[in-house]
Amino acid sequence: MMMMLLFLLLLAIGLPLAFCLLIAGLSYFISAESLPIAVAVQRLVASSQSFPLLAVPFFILAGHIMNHSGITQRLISFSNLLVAWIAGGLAHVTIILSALMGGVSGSAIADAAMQARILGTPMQTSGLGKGFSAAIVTISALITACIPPSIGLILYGFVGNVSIGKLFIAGIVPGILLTMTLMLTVFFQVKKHYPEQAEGEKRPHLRQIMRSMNDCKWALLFPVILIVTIRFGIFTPSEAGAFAVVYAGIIGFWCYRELTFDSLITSLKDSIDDIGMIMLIILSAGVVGYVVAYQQLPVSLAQAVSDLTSQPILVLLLCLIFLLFVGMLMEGTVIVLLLTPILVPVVQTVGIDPIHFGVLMMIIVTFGGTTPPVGIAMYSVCNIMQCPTDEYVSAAWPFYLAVMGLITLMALFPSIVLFLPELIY
Amino acid sequence: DSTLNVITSLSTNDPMYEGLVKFKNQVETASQGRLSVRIFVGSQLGNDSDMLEQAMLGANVAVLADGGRLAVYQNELGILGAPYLVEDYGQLNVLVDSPLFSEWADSLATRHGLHIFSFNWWQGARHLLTQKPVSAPADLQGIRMRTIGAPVWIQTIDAMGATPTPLAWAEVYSGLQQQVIDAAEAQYTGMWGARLYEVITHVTKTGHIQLISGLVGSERWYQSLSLSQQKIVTRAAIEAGRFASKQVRAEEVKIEEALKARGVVIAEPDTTPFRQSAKVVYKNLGYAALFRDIQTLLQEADDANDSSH
Amino acid sequence: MQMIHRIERWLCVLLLVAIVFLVFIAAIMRTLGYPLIWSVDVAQLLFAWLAMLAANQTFHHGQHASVDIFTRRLHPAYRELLFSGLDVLMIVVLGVLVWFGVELFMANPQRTLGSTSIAYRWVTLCVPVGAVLMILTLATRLTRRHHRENPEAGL
Ligand code: NA
Ligand code: NA
Repeated sequence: MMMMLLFLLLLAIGLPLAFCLLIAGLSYFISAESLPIAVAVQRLVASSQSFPLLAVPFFILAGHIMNHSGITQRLISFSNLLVAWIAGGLAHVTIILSALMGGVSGSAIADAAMQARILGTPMQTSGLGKGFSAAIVTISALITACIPPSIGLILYGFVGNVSIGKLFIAGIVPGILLTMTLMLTVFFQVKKHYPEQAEGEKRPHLRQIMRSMNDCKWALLFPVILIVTIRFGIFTPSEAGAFAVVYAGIIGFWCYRELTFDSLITSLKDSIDDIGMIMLIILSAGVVGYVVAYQQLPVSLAQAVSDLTSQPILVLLLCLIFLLFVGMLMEGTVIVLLLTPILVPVVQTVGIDPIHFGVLMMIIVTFGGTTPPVGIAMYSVCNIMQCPTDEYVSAAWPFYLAVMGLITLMALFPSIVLFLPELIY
Repeated sequence: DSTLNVITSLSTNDPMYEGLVKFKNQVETASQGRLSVRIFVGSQLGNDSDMLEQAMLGANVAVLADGGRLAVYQNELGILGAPYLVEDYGQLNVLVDSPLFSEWADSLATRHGLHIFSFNWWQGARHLLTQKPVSAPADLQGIRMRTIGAPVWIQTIDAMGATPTPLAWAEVYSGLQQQVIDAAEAQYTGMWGARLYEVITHVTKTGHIQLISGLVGSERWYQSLSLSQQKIVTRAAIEAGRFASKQVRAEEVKIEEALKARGVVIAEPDTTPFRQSAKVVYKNLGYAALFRDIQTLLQEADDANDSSH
Repeated sequence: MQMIHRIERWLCVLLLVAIVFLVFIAAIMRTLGYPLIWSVDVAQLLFAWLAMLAANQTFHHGQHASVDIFTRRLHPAYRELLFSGLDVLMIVVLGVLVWFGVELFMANPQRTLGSTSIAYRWVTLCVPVGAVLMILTLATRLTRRHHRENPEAGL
């Protein structure tokens, strides 16, 4: 409790998030007699020693290279042609792009950071507000957490002893629903706040679409190749990140001939700053994660839930509200690692399908990353786009409501999530 | 602090967890609540190597660790993970009760601050999990088999004919599904927990390695206890290890039935060719002399046992 | 100082390229049936160093994420003062990391990194080294801010 107050206080006076986490975590090690402070340093280092985490720098770098290699521009112009005629133009393009690339990236943070780089400025020049653009980029990263492959779901399946294959398939429909929900919300928000955008261009002809598809075939092939290599062979998600870097480089150098040695070095240097910021937060979160686990905070909270009620739907909603709260305070993968082993038994005892719960948990934990006070995806995007947090929040809340609505719907009607895996298995 | 935090990478479904619960209950009742034990599953406080390091630094933690992980501190303990070392649980008990073993344990405590509470936690024999039938080392030629990324394991899998491929345990399921790897090797309870039966078709019962763990914790914490408390902890650790191993044996029978029901082909090949090819591991790792010593020790115990009947 | 900074930046670039290369080659070699056992472990060793060195780079070229709701509304002079205070606080925290990072580095030389025979302490070392570099950066920033403040006070 003291730790939490200290953390919030430091955060409020403008200390960088990573250092707020560090000080809060260290304060516990200093006060606990049986915990040597060197253990805190160990936790800091240990956070970097996770193979799935390598996907983060890879996809950040791949995003930078794609910026310089012409891949992104072509994907954007294709998405543009597909959905730009709808009111909201580039905002829809961002969401469609998220769905396209979500099947590639396993990390919502990496996805958000990448898209902030790629689409941040174009969205603003097209007349959408800075906060609105940042909100769209961040929240559409939720799609990444759902659509397979998702590192979060792999971790959940492993820790919670749940079929990873079923989890993957269960993520597809929610991913599509999220895409549609966000596009609908954009549609209404744009009508309200940016009426000049609502005019739209003409709908594209099929011939136009085909021509554009051919023009950007290497770019379109990119997510397809990645999905295929991950799903049917060759790569684990982290390795796919390394592959994404290499592929983006090859396409940029030899196919589109837009990438130069100098711009490659520039992409590397730009990536370093993003990586430094995100990694220091993740490393520091490791120290806090240890304290949270050591205090068995999740255990007592989960116990409180099961003491309160045994009504499945109530337990599910309580768990989700709890996860929403924790998700606002902690990093997503950390939560999955810490809370899955505690919450899965709780929901299973009242008869909730762990597949159903896993997908909802993934969405809501990632959702926490898009909200204050410790939304890492939010901070990454706002930092890259230089968008003040309050401007972001005031544009983001309609999307918060829409996503919450969808999550509630999926919580009340499990078959939305479960029918596809049940059909296939 | 009179609290001991016990950490395992396993989940609550694993029989080892039941053993840890027994350890907790016995320590807490026997010490009349003056000692308390908290159990953390799923490596919540760090992986096994991290936990050993924390124990060395003096944190009040203990972890279920295998011999290979301790070998960097006390080289001889590495042999506990070597192929075809002991035949059964009885032989394991003879080994860990021997003066040879307590010599290693003492050295580990004085030199590195790591205390072995008990080393009789048997998690089962490791078998081959493949997509095709296997009857001899030759069948493993060119097969990318996931194993643990430590020298003993890599050498063993290599000697048995497959290509050792270290991969995080969390990635084994998807790795098999996506054919990133062709095969894996695990004990029954481990493969059951990770649902590997969904992505493999054949289990070959080679039993090439007996997966043995010890409950290892901070020597500093242990020394902070009174003599009678130390006895309570040690006795509880030994009994809990025995209990957990018994649970594993019961569990394995059930798992084998369930595997058959799911259509997994289970084969019991002649293990002699695997044994022969695995011998080279001892030579490569410099355990050849120690291996002979242990075999003599086990033989003597066997003879003594026979003559008493 | 400028020199250290530029070397560090190029080192970060090299580390990032090396990590991509190691993981990519590992995947390719495994597909071909010749898994490189050590490559992922080495990649993770380099990754820890990249994270700490890049964290220092972020101080130079960008900004570490922070909440600005309160500080944005502050009078510029007070804001500068607050930022100086925060820099001092960060230096203290980093000092703690250096001290105990060195302790950890000394404590466990036997532990090895994954399947390699590389000592794990070379991973651990990235914390004290990275923290020292960040302290240098922050100290430089602090003295610069201090020097700039004096003429402003004269106005
Ligand atoms: Na996005
Ligand atoms: Na994804």
